[in-house]
Amino acid sequence: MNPIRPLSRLLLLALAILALAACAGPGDPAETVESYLQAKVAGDRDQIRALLCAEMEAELEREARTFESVSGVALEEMACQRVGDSSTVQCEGRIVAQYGAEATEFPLVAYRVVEEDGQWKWCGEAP
Amino acid sequence: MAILLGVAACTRPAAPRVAATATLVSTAAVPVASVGPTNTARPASVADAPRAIDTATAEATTTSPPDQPPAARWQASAAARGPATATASPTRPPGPSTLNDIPVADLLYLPPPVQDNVRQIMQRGLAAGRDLQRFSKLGDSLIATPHSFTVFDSGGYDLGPFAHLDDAIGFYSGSFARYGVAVKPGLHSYAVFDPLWANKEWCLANESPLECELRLNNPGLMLIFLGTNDAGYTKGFTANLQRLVETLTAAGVVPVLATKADRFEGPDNSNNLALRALAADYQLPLWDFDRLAETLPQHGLGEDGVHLSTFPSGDYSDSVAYERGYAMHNLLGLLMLADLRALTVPLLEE
Repeated sequence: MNPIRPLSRLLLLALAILALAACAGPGDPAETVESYLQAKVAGDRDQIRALLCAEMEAELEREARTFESVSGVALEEMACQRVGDSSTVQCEGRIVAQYGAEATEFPLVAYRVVEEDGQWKWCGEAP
Repeated sequence: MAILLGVAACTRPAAPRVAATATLVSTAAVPVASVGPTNTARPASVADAPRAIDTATAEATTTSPPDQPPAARWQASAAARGPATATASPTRPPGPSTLNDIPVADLLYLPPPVQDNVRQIMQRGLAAGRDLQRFSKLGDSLIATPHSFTVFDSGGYDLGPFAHLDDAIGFYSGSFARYGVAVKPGLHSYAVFDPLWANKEWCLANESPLECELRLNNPGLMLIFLGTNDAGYTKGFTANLQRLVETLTAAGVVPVLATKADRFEGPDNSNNLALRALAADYQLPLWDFDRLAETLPQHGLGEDGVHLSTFPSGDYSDSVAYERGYAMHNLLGLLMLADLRALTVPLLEE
């Protein structure tokens, strides 16, 4: 058995992993926005932190607690799509929250995304 | 081989989405053609801003709840009309000095140092072009109802022994029936700063309900009703209120704090205590409804245990008014506004 062969395989594998990392890109910004909105509705602080852009890190607490006092909160008919190659993701649908006997709706709008550390991050509403 | 693997990586489909933890009804793709700005609607003027539903009718509740002692009522006797206590505002207009046997001065926190602070904020507001005859409301479903204040704009009221408060109604005319964009069921202290909670028909992108309301209404006063939906995190509640009152005072808007009737955070009443402490720390007016609610059947709460008991007639010559949550909430608020008006008029005359 050639002792170099396993080493070659390891090298190839390492090269493949590097190639994967180089080509993966930041992904789909619309998916980032949808994931962010899901996390916000669920009050998932870790996920919100992971998807929040640096300039909005100070608002983490607000973002995580915005539906804390509600039990029946849900996303309805959410559909997000990047606008061309821009940093804007337009969403349709709504968040519905039940407060006592009243349902309050929060329409989804257009959101800004930025690329940080090779990932798309949610960065507030788009102007 | 590595190159082949790399090519495969570059052409793979998008990574799977993070598992949804909330109910997601549909994720159908939006057609590109429908993509576009949605926040183009803007109020043409302040007069167009959202207003209360003037025609809304409320269920009449004219009998006292069973098993409740008759509430102490406003004392019409001459004794009860005596001079206000030493801590009362020197500017307070004549009228009954007690409400359900509690001195009005104990229900409205507006001692001289607070009056001085209010004047300073108002002067900043005048310099910034604030309309001191206009107030905004900020709060939850407690005030998102025609039972709260709207009667003073619709004209269907009788102030009874408090007829002198009519001047305050005239002075702030138009603000009573206006909800604005900082009133929303479920609103809590974090939501005040969250653009998600802003009315998308009226507010700009990234504008919080607070910022939007200040822009639309340009008020001199902001009546703040928070705490019910902040149960369980008094520390955060306090920090958010500090941010809120600091924002308002810097903008030349007088924050008027109000305590609440419920005890959702528990018997320690921590959010009301936080509100009182905040008023003292920042020298701000406080409308201490919680104290008045102690004189009311079921603490002033209605059948749902959340909102106040109603009194649609607005007739303060009717003794039943003094047993009802909204009637007393409105009256105490009007008393506070009368005091604030008395501080405002000299500034406007200067």
